[in-house]
Amino acid sequence: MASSASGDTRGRAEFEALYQRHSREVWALAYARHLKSDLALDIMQETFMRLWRARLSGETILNPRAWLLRVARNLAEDHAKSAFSRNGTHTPQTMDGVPSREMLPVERLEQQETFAQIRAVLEGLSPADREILSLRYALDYSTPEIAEVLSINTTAVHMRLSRARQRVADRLAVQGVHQTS
Amino acid sequence: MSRVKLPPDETQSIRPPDELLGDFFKSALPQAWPAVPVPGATGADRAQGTQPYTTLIKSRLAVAASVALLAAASFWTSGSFQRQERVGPRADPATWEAQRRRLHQDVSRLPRPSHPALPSRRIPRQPG
Repeated sequence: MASSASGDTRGRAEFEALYQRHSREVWALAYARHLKSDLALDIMQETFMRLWRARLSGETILNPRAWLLRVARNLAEDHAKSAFSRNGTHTPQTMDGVPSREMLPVERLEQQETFAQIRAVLEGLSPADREILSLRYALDYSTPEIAEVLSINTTAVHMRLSRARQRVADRLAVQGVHQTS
Repeated sequence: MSRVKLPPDETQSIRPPDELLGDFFKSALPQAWPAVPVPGATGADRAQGTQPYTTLIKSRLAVAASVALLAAASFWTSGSFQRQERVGPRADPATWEAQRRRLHQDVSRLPRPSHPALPSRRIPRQPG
């Protein structure tokens, strides 16, 4: 009985450690799929709930990180096919891009406008490119870290990252948001 | 470096794409990160872990009690109502046939009406 309780406590501690270590990565991949912060948060939490249930049922998960990212991608994909995604009740402006409270209204308006343009550009990119951008800019991951998360080599990450950045830069330049390099 | 043609007042606020993308993605990242989304995982008591099982047993007991009550009620009320035979073509065919025969016999026992002989309706021939 005591060993069971200690094992339970240990399993819970491991789970919390997994959450602290990977929850932001899971969120970043979910966010890359839909560009909706709250939805990404829901998907992240559901993913970890499924991990918890899988562990309770005795399922052996050799690579929890890969498992989490795969489940999060599947959930994000399922949501894309669901009716809620097609007939959502919230506009992207409502769900995301919430600026800092210290900003002036004019600055906030400018930022919202810029973010709307960035969002439009990002929606034109592939989900794979958005995943790289999300990990790079939301979590400040380095190229090797992104390669590790996405299970691809660093050269591929570097190529896709620079290509995605260039696309974003070109499209924003067309819209007059920034200068091209 | 190629510069996009912009009005003078806007060229002063141009920003590199790295900065813009960083601002965009970081603004989407929730400031207050949610706690571990598992019941009891944040130090709550272990009793919560057994709650679903207890609830399941309670609901099954409630269903069993309801079924037993329904059976007892039907047993007690089974002889309380007077049964009325249905009459008509939808009733039991044998019952319906017996009633029809009885009615026929009753009708045949009734005295036959005695009417006076009616005059013949033959039209007499016209002479000639």
